[in-house]
Amino acid sequence: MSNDVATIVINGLVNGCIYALIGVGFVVIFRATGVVSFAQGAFMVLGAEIFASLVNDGLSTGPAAILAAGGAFIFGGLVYWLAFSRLTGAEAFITSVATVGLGILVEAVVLLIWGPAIIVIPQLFSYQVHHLVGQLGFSNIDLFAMAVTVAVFAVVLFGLHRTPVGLRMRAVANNPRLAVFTGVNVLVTSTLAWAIAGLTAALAGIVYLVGTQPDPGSIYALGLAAFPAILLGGFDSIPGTLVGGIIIGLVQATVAVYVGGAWQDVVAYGVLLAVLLLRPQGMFGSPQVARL
Amino acid sequence: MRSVARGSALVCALLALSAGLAACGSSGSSGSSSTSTGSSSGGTATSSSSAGAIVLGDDDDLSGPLSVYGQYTLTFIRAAASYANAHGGINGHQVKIVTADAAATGQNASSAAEQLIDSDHVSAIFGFTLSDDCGAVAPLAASHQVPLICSSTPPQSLAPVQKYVFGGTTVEAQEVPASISFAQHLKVPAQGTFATIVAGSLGAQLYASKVATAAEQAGWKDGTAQVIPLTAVDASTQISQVVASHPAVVFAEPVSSDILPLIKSLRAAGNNAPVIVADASVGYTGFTSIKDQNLYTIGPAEYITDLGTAQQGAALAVQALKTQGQTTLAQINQVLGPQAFVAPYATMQALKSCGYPCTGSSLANALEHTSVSLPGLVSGSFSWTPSLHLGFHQLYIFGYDPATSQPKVVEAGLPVGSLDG
Repeated sequence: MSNDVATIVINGLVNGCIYALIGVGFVVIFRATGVVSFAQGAFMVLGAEIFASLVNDGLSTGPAAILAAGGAFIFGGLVYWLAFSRLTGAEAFITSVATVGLGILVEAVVLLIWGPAIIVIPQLFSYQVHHLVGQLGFSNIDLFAMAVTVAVFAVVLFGLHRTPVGLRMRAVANNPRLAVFTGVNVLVTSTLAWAIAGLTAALAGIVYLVGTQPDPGSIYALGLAAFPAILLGGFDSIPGTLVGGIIIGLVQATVAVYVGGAWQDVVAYGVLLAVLLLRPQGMFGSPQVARL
Repeated sequence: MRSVARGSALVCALLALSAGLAACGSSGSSGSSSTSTGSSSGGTATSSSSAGAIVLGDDDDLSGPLSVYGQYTLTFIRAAASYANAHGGINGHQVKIVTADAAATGQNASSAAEQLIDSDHVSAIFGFTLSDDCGAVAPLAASHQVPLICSSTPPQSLAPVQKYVFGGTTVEAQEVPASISFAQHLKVPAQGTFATIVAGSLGAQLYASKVATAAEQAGWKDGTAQVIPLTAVDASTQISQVVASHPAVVFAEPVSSDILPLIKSLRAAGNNAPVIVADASVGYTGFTSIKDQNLYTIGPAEYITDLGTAQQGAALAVQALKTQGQTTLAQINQVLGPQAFVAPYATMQALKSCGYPCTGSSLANALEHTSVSLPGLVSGSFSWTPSLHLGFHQLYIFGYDPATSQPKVVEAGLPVGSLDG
């Protein structure tokens, strides 16, 4: 395998996993409540900052990640329970716009607490590359990103399709009024969806933080960068988010290698526009998905 | 209907609350407006019409992906204003800083500048993290005769000289000769390969182009030239390409978050090549956290490594930053270091020499004849002249000192290059 191809495969897969990890929260919220949440980037910042504080205070990676993700889980649920549940019945557009305000609010509070400086943590994983075939190899940071993504998707998919809670979430997503008549507590179910989205966003923030030294603003922006992947996969499809993320990651890496890095985002958003024009429901999404 | 009405009300409440908090997050300014929350101690504006006050603007990315740079610059502008106010103001007049967020929704650098000029009647405008923004606002500044002191300045706004555009720091292309001479000083082998990796800003790409030409003239071979879009959130592909080119030296100016993975990826591949980063982009925190002895950065102002420094310029900056709650070395040297203090301080000195009121061409003339000496911060003096609106004339090169776990000056007094590299 040539070096260029190896670079594309490695970085495409890893970045695709990060996109998918960000995207899964969008999809969970959308499926359960019909809301497109623009606040996921802010939850990523929150998770990353909590994680960094805990690690810098001496806590090891695992417990710090669990506490940070757990904190975002609780915060996400509270946000829905205290604020967004009151918008039930409002147009999805209004609620989605409200998430923009939520995102700004959360980011502003995070900046007040931790400041705008770059987030620094000790090196948790090695950058040493483990070669598999020829030039194809992954560093421990790459493997961490992919492992977290696989674990999150496995848990979310299992939870949605193999547990009573998942069944209730799918029922609410399919028809909230009918779900109420069958005894499903929509408030609890939707609160859980927001909590899960908070958790996955926090994990995405942690995964991104582990390999870089980002400032809060760039993590927040990353939350929106996942949109091409989500739209490509289908806004209401969890497996589609993974596939869409990896495709976008591979396309961006290919463009960066053969055309130039300056074009990688142009191509990603070109894909987004093409999908909106040609197949708004994405590769795996349902055709009835509402467009904003 | 009722639920929608309630929903709308909640949306409004949320947005209003978030806007308020965003204002707090941007250090006391309103998110997109400049005439807001007041603070007598911080040099923050209460109103543009405050009697007798000297009102200066800041047009920068105070929110969004580049807010770390915008907030950093604003902190140092406020510090310089507070220092002046604490010492009786400028010719007896207090300095007030008003802000306009160029990154706020529906806002851009030009409309933010219009707001500062038309509504707040500022005498001069600081800010402009992006050189493109400085260039875009330059015609407006010229037509209203309001000097701009830009954090990043496009070369075409400096040569030929534009009366109302002043560079707050060096232009990256000016750092090319120092980059090359330092690489030669490090004895990068002849015929060795070099790589460039820069962010997609105008100044950084110009630096990459000029340094590549100069490096080839010095006998090194071009391995790869990578650009990271400003909107990109990941540079791993570009970094992989740099690693794969097996460089003997890397010339870089990525955003700060990409420096750690660049260094670690190179070292993990067994490559210990020097990485020379332009525009002071490594930062104090970058040095102290990455701890790499072959990582260097070029910058026009010294880091402050001793809070009790006796050097006059550094001590003055420490004192001024204390008024903004910046009391640790990491805070004082934040982001790109205390270089952001120098131009605002020099502007205050220009206003002092100019008398009151001082605006328009009088202020521009005063700026063109300002020279300040800040030992411990600036090598030589910081001075704008009628023929060159860039104040820094000498550069430092910094490296990591394992003995102190801080950055140290490796070379000082290097002359800045020409605007075309």
